[in-house]
Amino acid sequence: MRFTQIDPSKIDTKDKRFQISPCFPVDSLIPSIKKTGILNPPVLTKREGKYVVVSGWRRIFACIQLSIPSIPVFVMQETKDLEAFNVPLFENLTIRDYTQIEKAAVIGKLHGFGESPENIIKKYLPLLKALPRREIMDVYIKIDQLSESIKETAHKKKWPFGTLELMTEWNEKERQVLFPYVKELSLNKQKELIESLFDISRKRDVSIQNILSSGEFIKVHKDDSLSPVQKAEKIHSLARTERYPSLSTWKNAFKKISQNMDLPEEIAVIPSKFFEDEVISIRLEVKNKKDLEKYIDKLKELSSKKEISLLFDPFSND
Amino acid sequence: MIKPHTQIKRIFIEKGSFKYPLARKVLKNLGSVPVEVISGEEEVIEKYNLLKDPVAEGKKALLLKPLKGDFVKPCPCTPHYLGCNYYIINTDLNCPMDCTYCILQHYLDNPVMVSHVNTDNLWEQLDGFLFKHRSRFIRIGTGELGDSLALDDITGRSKEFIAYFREKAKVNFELKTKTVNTDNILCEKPADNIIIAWSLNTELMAEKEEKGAPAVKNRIEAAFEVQSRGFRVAFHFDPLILYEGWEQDYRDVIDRLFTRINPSGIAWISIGSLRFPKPLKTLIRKRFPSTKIIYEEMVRGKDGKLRYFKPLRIKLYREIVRAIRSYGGKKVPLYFCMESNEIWRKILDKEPGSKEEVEAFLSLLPRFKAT
Repeated sequence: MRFTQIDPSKIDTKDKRFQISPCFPVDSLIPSIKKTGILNPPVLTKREGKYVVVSGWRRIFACIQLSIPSIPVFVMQETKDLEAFNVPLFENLTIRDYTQIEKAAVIGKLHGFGESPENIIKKYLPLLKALPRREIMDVYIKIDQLSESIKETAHKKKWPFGTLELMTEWNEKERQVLFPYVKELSLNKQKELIESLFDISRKRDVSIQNILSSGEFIKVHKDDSLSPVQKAEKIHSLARTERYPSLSTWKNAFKKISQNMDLPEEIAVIPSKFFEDEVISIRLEVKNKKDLEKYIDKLKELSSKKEISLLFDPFSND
Repeated sequence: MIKPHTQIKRIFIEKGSFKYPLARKVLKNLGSVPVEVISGEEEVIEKYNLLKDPVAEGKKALLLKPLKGDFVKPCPCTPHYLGCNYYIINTDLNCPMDCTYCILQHYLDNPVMVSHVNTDNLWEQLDGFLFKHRSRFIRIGTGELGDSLALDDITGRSKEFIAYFREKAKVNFELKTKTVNTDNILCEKPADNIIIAWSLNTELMAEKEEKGAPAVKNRIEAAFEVQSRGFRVAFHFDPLILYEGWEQDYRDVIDRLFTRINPSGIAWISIGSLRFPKPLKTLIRKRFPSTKIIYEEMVRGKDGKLRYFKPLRIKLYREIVRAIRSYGGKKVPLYFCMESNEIWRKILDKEPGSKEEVEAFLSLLPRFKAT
């Protein structure tokens, strides 16, 4: 490894063969470089006569943005990409956890550099805190092949492995239809939306384009009064209703019965999760003993109503 | 019918296991199948983790090794639902058949079929276990983490188990299978406390979702032969699966069952619906891309597993129980596997307070006299 000074604009930053992160926010680094310069020189190597980045992408982009004419760098003599790639891989591992997108990039690059599947599974997956199994390696390779826009969002928002795995099971066209909605949702809802649409699609043998361009879905899609987040929330809710029709019917029936009971807002009746248990919960909010007595009387009055038994089985009258 | 063991293309044997008579017997019965000596099970797990579909590949291999822990364990059942106090004997693990819904794909760390060859320890442990529980009835069987008869023609375990248990009056011993591998059973003298059981489904589900398993009509024929020999039989409608046309298909199989089988010789029929832990859904989706059974309306139950939304289960169970009762099984004892008290009450009009009560209900039934 040779230490030298170099004009950062002469580095071929389009060559991303050793790049692990899909994007490099440099804003937080700029004040530090302005004040103290580069304390930890980036590592470069030469390929086809050009300098390419091995590690230190953020530092290099920050220096280019600051138009610094010359920066200190280490230049590796290593000619094998696989060997050179160990530098950024281990450097980053010692300082932070990789996102799933970065892990996928590591596996994808090792695979591309000709590392054997056996070594990737046995040596590298445990380093990345992943199970040493072929199926896991295969999923990471597919995640690495997702579009740049999906990878960037998934990296920034730290999407979990399960969500990304589901994304890989769609084709690229389907992913592009789905992505504008998915990216607006919270992590849990993202997974629920992807999984619900996937299940509906597989069950009915229809494409996601067909699902999203039919019925209520298309109305939401075309409704310009809704913000992207509102659209995504509505699509999520519609997908859940279609995926779980009986559960949705029960939920609505339960809600209607409790509304008809005209409960004060201090009393709430709550079904068990997915109605799996027979028990319903009654939540009572009181400020003092007087309130408590008042609402206990109210509960007694409610228990004598006919509708109360319907809460335990919303369709028992059918 | 092709014997399930014929798909074994590779044998692993743990170093030091040649001394066990069962290991030598299996090696002899498998003849020309290549044998590899290994230092430990981990070696096999590591090897199969490198494969694209370790579960499918594991079904083509058999590992012979001694079991270092306990052969007899309480059936794990599932939290928050009613169990039946069953005990399982873990002699052979995994199975050559490849059912879409099989929990073993997810439950077992080792995808390879395993035969525990230290049978001396097995009998010692069973003696100790039965002595410890001598004051109560025991229901015990081998078909929980593997098929009881799938490898029986190379291990001959069924003969040994029948010989061991036939004199144990307070034990109901069950061999549970999907196969028609009953040659050894048919050579044995029946006993009241030995029960041979079959898992049943509709013909369509067997064909589409139980790869490598015999057609249901053949399973019923095997049960008929075994019952004709004088053994008590049992059936497990588990997992019941919802799909378009399920009502008529289940009625057809129940009709066929009672046309061939004498209901008074049925020890019990268990009923359970499709359920599995969430991670298994991902595995099923990948291993069986054309299946649709995982896309029905399943929600998380109290145990965290995915199961049909309760009103759908109730409808399913009502239909099955109605069919069993009306096609000839009026007095056949029925029980639920991994269900709630509410389901027991609503469908069977019984509400056992505990797994001990379920066990008592199933163990103390009057026994069918072998003829």
